[in-house]
Amino acid sequence: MKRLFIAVASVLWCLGCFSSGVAQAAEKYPLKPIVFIVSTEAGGDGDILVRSLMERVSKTLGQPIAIVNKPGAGSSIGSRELHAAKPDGYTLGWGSAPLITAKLQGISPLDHHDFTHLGGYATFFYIVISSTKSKVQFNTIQEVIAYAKANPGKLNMATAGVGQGWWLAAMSFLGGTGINVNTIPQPGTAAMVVTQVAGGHAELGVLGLASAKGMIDSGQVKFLATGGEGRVAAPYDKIPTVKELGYDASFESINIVMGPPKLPQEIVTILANAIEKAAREPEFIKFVSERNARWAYIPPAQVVPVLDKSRNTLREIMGKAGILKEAK
Amino acid sequence: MEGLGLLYNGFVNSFTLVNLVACFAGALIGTIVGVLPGLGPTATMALMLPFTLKFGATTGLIMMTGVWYGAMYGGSTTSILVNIPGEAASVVTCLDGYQMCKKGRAGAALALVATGSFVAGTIGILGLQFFAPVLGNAALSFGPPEFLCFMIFAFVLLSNLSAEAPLKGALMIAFGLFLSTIGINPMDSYPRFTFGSEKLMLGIDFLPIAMGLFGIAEILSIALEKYVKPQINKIRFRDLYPSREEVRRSVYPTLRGSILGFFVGLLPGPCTVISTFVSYSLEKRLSKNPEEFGHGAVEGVVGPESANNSAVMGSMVPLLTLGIPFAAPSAIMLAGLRMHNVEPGPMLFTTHPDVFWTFIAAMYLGNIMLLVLNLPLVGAFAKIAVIRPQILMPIISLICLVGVYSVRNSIFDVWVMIVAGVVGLFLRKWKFPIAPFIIGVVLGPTTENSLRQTLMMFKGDVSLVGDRPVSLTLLALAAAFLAFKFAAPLFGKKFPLKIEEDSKL
Amino acid sequence: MGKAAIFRLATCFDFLMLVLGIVIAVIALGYGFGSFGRPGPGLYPFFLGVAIAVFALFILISELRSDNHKPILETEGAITLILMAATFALWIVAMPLLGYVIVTLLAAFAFCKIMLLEGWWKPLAVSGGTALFIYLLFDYWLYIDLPRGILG
Repeated sequence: MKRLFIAVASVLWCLGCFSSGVAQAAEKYPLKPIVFIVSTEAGGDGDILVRSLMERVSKTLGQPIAIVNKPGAGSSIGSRELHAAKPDGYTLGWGSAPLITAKLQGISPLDHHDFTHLGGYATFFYIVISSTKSKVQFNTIQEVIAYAKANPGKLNMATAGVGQGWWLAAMSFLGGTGINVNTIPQPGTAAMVVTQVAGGHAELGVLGLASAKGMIDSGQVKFLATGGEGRVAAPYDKIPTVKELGYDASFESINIVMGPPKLPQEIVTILANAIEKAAREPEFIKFVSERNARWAYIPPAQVVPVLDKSRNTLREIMGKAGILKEAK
Repeated sequence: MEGLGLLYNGFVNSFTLVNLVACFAGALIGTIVGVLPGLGPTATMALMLPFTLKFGATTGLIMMTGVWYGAMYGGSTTSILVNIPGEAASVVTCLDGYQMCKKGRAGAALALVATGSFVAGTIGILGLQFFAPVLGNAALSFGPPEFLCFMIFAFVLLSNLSAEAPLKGALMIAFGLFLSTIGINPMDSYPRFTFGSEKLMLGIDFLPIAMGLFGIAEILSIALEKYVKPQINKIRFRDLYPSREEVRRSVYPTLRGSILGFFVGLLPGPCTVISTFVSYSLEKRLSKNPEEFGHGAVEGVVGPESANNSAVMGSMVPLLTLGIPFAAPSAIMLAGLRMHNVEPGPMLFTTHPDVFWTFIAAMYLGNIMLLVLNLPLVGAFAKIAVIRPQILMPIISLICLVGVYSVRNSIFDVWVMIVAGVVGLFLRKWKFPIAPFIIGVVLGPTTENSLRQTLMMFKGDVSLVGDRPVSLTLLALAAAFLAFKFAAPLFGKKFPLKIEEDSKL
Repeated sequence: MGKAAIFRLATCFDFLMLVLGIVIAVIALGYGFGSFGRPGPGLYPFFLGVAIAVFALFILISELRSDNHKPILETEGAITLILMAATFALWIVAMPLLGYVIVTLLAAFAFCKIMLLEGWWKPLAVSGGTALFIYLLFDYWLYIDLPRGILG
């Protein structure tokens, strides 16, 4: 009898400690370092921006945020891992356009509806560059389109890996201008694309401005057009947008922070506030424009509607490019 | 020369306490990480990135390169002592380094590797300093066809690693190449051979395979042998340091390895690993006693280890002059630099020349620091080799298990290592050479990507390769090697026809 | 042991590789061969599968023709191997459940005994020391997330 009593008492006592521990944990979140999964390569455009953002967030939260890069398969490897993580607030992740399209392409069964959203902070747009070393060279984007229409399938265009953000951008460009080129997907995102174009192995390339900046400034590649809603700031303000030239080929990738599904509300609030505070810091805003992206804070509640709108555009683009395959 | 003036400035800058401490800390951490099986330089650098952000761009760069560099120094330690590659670029060192250890020459091997790494590092830094811009542009001209031809050339060159059993070696390469295709293809995001398993979709990591095939297989092999108490119980001072003969034999391989490694470092992908294989293969071809390779040939130890140190420097060339990260650690450094708004690339010399020169100066200092750090430790490490296997092997086994798990927090990786270990044991017994298998796994992704991209570029018309001088040169070199190999017997050169009983290849 | 030895593991392995090669080639074709101008995901693995099968076939033939049938493992060796492999496997299986400390202690002890370390004190010391070392190094110093199992 005495033993039974002791057993029950100790179980109850443990439960008490446990539950008070849980309550404590929720109050004082975060208690330990947070892992942040970035589903693109280190050093890439999206990666740099989110590192800067998370550095500020970690100052607010008082805990280090360890950034882990898990690129691959159009960001779906990283997204899958984030989705499977425990919703305790200690694993968070990054998202961008490929998050929406991975499902449309049949690469992943997940899309932006399957995660808890913590806010969006910037938008990336693409640019088109051309080589100064290839056999055929171009000075303006109109020349490119004219040549491509006259010689379908002849030009080589280096793009990011299939399913990646810049690959989607390339598809938008091709679909919107209606030209037919030989696309050569590169492993990874932007680094290899600019290498191929700078080396003359491909006549054209589609990627983000940040990765190509060094090559453009030194004259190794030519900056022909931008695929954003508006022109880029000086010194590139002379470069036209594909939109103003009459092509429905704009593509923008919204970068967001997200967490596994069913993240508790208290944690979401703490994180969303920290992220908003970090995103609105003037230094961060300056950093975003220095990295050639457009600052745009989106509160968590609006992330899904904004991405849904984006998805409709992307669905059209992909349909035209013939790669629309709803996931199983 | 303007360069020297800038270099002097660089030295002045690097002598700040912050930079010196960063360099030393990086090198120390890197060495430890290199010694530990499992944890590699890339993961460590990624973890350190937030810390380095508090300091300037240059300090961060110095610290992280120190880590990478130190890992190349440290990785060879466990390779030599217990046949376990501390990280991927130390796999080749296992082949002859461990054999030297079994002969009681562990200290000599460690000392020669430390000095060789120092020399290689210095040559690498010199190369970076003087030739960076030129090489940067040269690296750009390497497109998919050039890489494909380089792969072909590499395979021909490396075929001598299985000269004793060419068919078995070929099977091993093919199988290794196949294993590297498992997972999601980076070019078209298409899952292959994954059978729906989430684990397989991530692909089979190279390090667990290497640790299994070399380390675990060796542990199992030792467990099966009957333990004989060695004659030498005490380490004599003579055993700690290399003999005159060994030093003499190391001079040229070190120099060759340094220069070769630097150039291989310019290539994308796992350049440090590739450099070790190429160097080993080259040394074996040039040696007057190729049979000795696999049994403790000192050239086969210092050549590759020098190569991987200078490959780190070679890898910095595309990063700093083009802003293009060709290897995973370079990508981390790129992230670090960009966070400080320093854009590496052709504009680096105009916008932030001090970054480059301070970095170079710090690397010279770091190199010296590592030598000073590692040489005295040689004695301590060599004593580990004498510990009885009954005690040493269990400790090593557990460290491997935990180490491999810690890389990706993946139980699957540990299973891969164990399976590779058992398979590796049998492969050895059946006289299948293991080095070609590793080569296949390492070179697989680059080979396939280059092949597909080349085919896409040429739209199937392979004759277009005639337009590309670099590709043609590489193909010609490959053909020359092949011709030499088949023609040599006609000129009376002997080739070993039978496999040695206990060849470790 | 005559001819029976030829049907030992080595030949089985070669045959297995032959079958594997064919299987790989078939699966690869299913992924889409594409054309030479536009290679699909299956092109490269298909050629690899064919290569594996061809090499395995030649090795199998030469193995069948050879006279070398020394057994590679005596019974005692086989038992040791199985014990070692089983210890490794048990560590992997039990680690997430029981936590790495306990499993490491047990496994290190087991390894010592399998490798015929004398007595009981030495293995205990080794296993205790190893577990402590691993704890200090990986958990305390490097902050690596190792499953603690029932130790919480």
